[in-house]
Amino acid sequence: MRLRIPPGWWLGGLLLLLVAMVPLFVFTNTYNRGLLVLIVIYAIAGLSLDYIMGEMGQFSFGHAAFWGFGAYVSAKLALDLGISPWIGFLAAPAAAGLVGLLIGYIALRRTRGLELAIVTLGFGVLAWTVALRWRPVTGGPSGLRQVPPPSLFGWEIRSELAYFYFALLLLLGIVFLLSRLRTSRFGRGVRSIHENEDLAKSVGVAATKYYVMAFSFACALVGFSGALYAHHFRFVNPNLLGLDYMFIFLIVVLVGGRGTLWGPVLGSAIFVLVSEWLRALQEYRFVIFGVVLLLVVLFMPIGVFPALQRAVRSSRERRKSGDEATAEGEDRARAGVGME
Amino acid sequence: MPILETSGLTRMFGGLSAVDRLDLSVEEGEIRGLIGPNGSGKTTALNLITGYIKPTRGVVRYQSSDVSGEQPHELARLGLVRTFQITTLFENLTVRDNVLHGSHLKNPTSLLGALTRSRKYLEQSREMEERVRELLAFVGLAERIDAVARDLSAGEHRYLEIAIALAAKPKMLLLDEPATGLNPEEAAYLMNLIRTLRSQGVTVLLVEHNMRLITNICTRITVLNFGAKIAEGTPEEIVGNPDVITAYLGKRRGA
Repeated sequence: MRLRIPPGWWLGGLLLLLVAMVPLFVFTNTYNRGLLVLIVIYAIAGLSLDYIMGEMGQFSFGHAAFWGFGAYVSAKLALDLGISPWIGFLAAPAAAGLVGLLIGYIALRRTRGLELAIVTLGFGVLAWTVALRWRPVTGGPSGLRQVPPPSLFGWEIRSELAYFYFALLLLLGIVFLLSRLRTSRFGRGVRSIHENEDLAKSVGVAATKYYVMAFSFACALVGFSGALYAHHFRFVNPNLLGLDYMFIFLIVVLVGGRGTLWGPVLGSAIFVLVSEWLRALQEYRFVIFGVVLLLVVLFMPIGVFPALQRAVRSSRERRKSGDEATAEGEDRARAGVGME
Repeated sequence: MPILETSGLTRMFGGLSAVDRLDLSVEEGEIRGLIGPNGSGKTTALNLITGYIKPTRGVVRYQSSDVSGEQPHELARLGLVRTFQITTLFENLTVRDNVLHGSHLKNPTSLLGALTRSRKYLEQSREMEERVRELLAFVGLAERIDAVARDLSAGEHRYLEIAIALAAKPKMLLLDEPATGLNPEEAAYLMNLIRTLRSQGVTVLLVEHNMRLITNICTRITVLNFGAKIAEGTPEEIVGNPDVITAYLGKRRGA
């Protein structure tokens, strides 16, 4: 059997391999290696937001709320009930997916597009407020601390490098899963609703049901990313549910490229590294990100990853057609054409 | 035994009834024409039957069960499939993917199969690809299989729409002005396709504005004007019906 690897996987795989090698040589101290963990966690969050933006063609302003919710669920289970983070990694997406199902059911039965964005914004602000005010459960503004790291056979995955490779493996698994989900009956159903909802219904796609399920799936995935965050950085607070992270995920998706799988991975790396580079500017960072976002949307609306893909493809085609031209020239030379 | 029946079907928009107490009865295996001047309520009637809008009053029965107010995708599952007046495709997808996405109801693959690329999944995918090719050959688009839908000509658009609808394996197909925008040859080709469908056992309800086109192909014709049925019968009866002529051409002064 011939193994056919789609061109995106070559590019993305290469990228990831490079990223995987980087910590050994470039990111040599603990702090810098922490950034790598952040890249992976934001990449998973970005992929989940892109499931809503790229696959469903919708937008949720409440996505960070599900991220923070997942983080709280797993942290809370570990702190209050002593439940292993491994269970938390399953419980967080389950809980976020369940709440996503409820919110999706309420919102998607009636709304699409801008209205959906507003409904989810309302939900996000509500969730953030609850996290802030419900002190006995959420710890109020200061949140919860001392969240334990996961451990494997008695060995705590505590070092930045170990957690990075652990999370990277999961990220790869998620990209793989998402790429295959696209050609499943469910994935095609979702895509057809995105393309044309009326037509999708006419051929039997239960549009609202599929969208609610897809939304819930994206919420589960981002909840998982949140749990990964909680057990590495070892704290949770209400900001995790807020608009700061919402904008980060949005930047990750838009800069990387919507609907491309590897786009959010690249977008996340760009975001984390650039924001680290701009760290000295403190509060002005987001001003610069605003400008960057504006420039990307105006001048590279497809995002960086698809732009790279296109460049590679067109240079390959140019080389190919160049080869053909040369070959043709040689043929002609051999035949003695044009050499009078 | 009628496959589709409406009784007293009414839809009000504001104070205006777009469809007014429509009684329609389509027998299995028919090609029924639904005609009328612009704004006579043909498309609204079709939207009511296929669940895209809810009736104000009245009942739709399909295969003897009351389906009034059912969702479009539920009706598609029962074999009642429609096309749209304005060409409606998955514009950004290839011709192949258009039909593949139209095959939702006939897609036997499981989620686990798709995720693991199991042998069964690959087998089923091959069968689906085969069916897509058959359908495209049937509508005459076999050679355009890799084209992106939005690059097709007006005629090819219409043929692809039919292929998408057929991918859902309809028992009854409702076509909303499928010949609009086609030249006479393309329209004739399309009508031939429809005739072939009938011979394969598909019942057709054909909404059309162009009377000449429809008289050739329909077994019976129903005429609407201002939302109400004004005539029904064989093409010959309809062509000679004075009410129909008045509706289409207006009253001759002094006649």
